[in-house]
Amino acid sequence: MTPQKCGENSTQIKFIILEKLEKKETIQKILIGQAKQYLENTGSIVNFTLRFLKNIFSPPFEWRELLKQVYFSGYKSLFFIGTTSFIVGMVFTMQSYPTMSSLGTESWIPTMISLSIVREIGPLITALIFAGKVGSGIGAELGSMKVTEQIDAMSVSGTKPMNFLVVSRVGATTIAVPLLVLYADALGFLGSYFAFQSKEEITMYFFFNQAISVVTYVDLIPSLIKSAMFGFAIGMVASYQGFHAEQGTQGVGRAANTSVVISSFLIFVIDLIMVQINSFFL
Amino acid sequence: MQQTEAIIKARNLKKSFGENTIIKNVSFDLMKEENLVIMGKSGTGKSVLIKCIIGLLVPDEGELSVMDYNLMDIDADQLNELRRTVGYLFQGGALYDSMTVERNLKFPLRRFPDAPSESEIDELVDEVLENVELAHTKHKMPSELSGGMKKRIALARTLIMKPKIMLYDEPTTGLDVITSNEISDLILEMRKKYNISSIIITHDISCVDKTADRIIILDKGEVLNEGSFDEIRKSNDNTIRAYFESV
Repeated sequence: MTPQKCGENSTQIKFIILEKLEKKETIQKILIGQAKQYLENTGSIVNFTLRFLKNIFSPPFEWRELLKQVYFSGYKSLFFIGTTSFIVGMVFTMQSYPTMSSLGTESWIPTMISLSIVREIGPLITALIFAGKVGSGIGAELGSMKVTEQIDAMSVSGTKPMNFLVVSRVGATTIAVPLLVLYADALGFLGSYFAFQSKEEITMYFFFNQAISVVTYVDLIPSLIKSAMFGFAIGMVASYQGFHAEQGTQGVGRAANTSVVISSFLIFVIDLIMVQINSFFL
Repeated sequence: MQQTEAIIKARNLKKSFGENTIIKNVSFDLMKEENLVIMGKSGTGKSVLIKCIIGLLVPDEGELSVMDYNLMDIDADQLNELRRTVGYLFQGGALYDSMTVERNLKFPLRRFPDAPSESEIDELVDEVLENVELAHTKHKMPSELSGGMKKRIALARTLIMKPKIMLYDEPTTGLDVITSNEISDLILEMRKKYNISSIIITHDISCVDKTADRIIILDKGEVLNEGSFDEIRKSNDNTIRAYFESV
């Protein structure tokens, strides 16, 4: 190798090393930036939750707004949740029937379906639909209020937007989801009955009697507690996203969308934790 | 106009967002019953400044007191107390769009610790709606109102709390000339009627001409000039003269 070529090579190597160092620095900067962002977001969520908890017990108590929100979030979801639960009850029965029938255990279907619906399907279906319909609605409504400065307008008038907007909505979702779960359970049973009745001669009274006889408080209470936690998570996530919406209409859309995605994910996480806790007590 | 005592005192205020300094070294006083206009190009920190005054933002450095409340060291209860005596007219009005005009006006009053009775609130609502000449809109939703009407209702919503200070964030932006003039007249009328001190942020020279007792020009986050309308208008500074070219 000539001395000239050797010099060229070493210059090239120097460039490559410098380039790599620059890339390394850029990656480091990105990682630090992301870690900083993550910590800031976590801090913001913790701060929001603490403010929420503080405001639950501080007046004014927005009872009227709470009832209005229970009505809007609960009553207006009845059709979707009822229809979905009815269909799921039917489908679940139709899917189980051939297998159970081949084993000669079709008479267990009402019992099996009722426990599945009460313990798992009812709360899960209700919470997921509720997150999609009500969670996205809260995220979009509060997001829109945020970007049009309506939340700031409440703050500067010396009122507490946290009480009026967040505590009432989170309270409403926490109350509404367990109530909707009971309703979804009932319609799930009904769907199951119609599917079962198309295969076997059975009266509604007998089916429901069999289905309900196996459901105890040990099944129902944890299911309702879990449902209340789903409702709380949906309300909190949607309110947080709405309260922190930025950048105009795009931010409103993002708040609605993120509310559904995060609360749906949290529903499964809470479900998993609650199953573990429940099985520990059982 | 009496210029006896400062109702707002700001000294060497600085506010940054990340590495971006929005306002620096800003000092001014707002005297009792004075209309102080703050002018400046977009992004010079005018809105940030009044958001600091109402406690929506906290300055990084400096001193800021509003009617004996030290904004640099204030707790949530004190801040709410202060906010009940300071009105803020948002650029877009910020009316609560899920409520009727009447509920918009009643909303803050009903939540006061020493809230008036429902009949007193009804009287106050009628009074402020008369003042802004929109009594017929009482049962309308904000979506049924024009831009000018929204601004008037938003003004009524702040006036119902009988504020001692009003902060107007571009009160005439987006309005036609006639409505802009009406809003400017309303600002003067409200000062006369309720003895209000005001800070008005605006680009609208005719609004400045009508309402300003004193003007502050902000440029790149700093106070560039201060004086009466005529003093500022006669300035030799090209940046300042640019604002008045349309007059």
